[in-house]
Amino acid sequence: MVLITLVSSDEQNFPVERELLKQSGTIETLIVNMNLDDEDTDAAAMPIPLPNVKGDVLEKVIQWMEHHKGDPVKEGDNEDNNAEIVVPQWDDDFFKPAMYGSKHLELTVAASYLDIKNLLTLSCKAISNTFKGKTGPQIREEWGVPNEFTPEEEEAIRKENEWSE
Amino acid sequence: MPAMLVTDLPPELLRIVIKKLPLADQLNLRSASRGLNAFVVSEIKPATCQLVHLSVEQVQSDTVVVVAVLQNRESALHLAALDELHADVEKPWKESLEDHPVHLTAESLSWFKTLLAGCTIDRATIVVDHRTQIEEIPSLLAQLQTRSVEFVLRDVVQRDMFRLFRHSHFFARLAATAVKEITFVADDTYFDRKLANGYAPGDCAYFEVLEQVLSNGITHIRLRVALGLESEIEESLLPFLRTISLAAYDVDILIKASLFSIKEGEKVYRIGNEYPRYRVTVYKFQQRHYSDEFRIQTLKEDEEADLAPIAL
Repeated sequence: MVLITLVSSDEQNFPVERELLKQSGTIETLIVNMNLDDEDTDAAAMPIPLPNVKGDVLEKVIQWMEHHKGDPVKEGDNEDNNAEIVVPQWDDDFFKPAMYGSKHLELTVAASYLDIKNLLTLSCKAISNTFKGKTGPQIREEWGVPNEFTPEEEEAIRKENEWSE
Repeated sequence: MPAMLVTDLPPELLRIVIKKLPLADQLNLRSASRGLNAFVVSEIKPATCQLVHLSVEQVQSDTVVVVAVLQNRESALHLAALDELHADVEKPWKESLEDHPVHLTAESLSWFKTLLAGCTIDRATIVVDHRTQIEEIPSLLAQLQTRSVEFVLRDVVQRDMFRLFRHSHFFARLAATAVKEITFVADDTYFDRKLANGYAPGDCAYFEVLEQVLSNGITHIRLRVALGLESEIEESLLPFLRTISLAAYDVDILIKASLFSIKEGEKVYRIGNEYPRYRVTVYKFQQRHYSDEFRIQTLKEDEEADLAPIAL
């Protein structure tokens, strides 16, 4: 089994099975460009630095990729905007502990940076789900967002939104 | 490093999140934070606001009501973000209109020029009474690139409902806009028979108004009248046809009215061979809840006419 080492922004090393990394468009491109697949060169032993991903987040990303090993990888640049996507139970349980917190958001940003389309889609959908049927104040409370509005401003937005009710 | 907030998500990720939400939930996000408000509005507001239909009604000397039928729900944001103009936005189901009407009350027509900047409205209905600042209308329609305008005449005080149009070169100014078709609806004013007491049909002089409209280059005219047109047709039709024939106007005039004493049929009129032929048709509906139709159309050279032209 070929292992490739990923290095997080806080310099933690994560040896990862080569096969898993095919889910990440960013890492796959790096591997190809740096000839890391060529076992006859010194490059094969080179670690891949990921300066935009912290260790605890990278650990979660790897955990997710391990579970989804062998899943078909999405091709192309088009983001799936389908509102009907259902987050599978395993992924829901995976996201839940970090939901409403910085960690889930950082995981989403990492999925975008690493170009892991399935993770990005599910992660964004999980965030969307937390907004569904909620009012602005409820969203603020759940996600810990400070209230910047005056009561008059909130009332103005509420009135502007009435047409859609 | 401070903890990341949902409002700190980069726009490209926020966009993915929002696209997965129904419109109502997207709008709810607006009141979560200023940043989300600005982002949601910019994301769901179409670049242009397309209105299927617009009607403007002046209900007080300084107040007008606009009913705008929008092509899509998102377009309402163009109109709804105007709270400082005392915009009243009503829920769609309160109206029987098939799309998404938005009612607005504002202080004057000039507000609507600002309000509807960038909008194109193909067909507009404007309710006119003696308080209407009619001189403002052509510039509004020019801005909206309106092609068809309907004037609903409501003037129970002034018997001459066209009085407002006759002055100030209104039709000339209207013809300078994109308006190609004009409709007058004058059936509400005299629907109440009490109001029609003492009314002399000649006061309205419909054919005189038609002449004015035609002479300014608007040749598609529709007129809906409840009462009082029959005697004017009998008195004024032939002089009117002579006038438009001499000017060689290419016309399509449809009048809907109750034509009790005028017989159904078709006639073709012409002054002489070098002048256009005009077909005048009268169609009477058996069911009285339809208005009878009286139509004057220019016959094209290649159009067959079974009837021999009547000399004017």
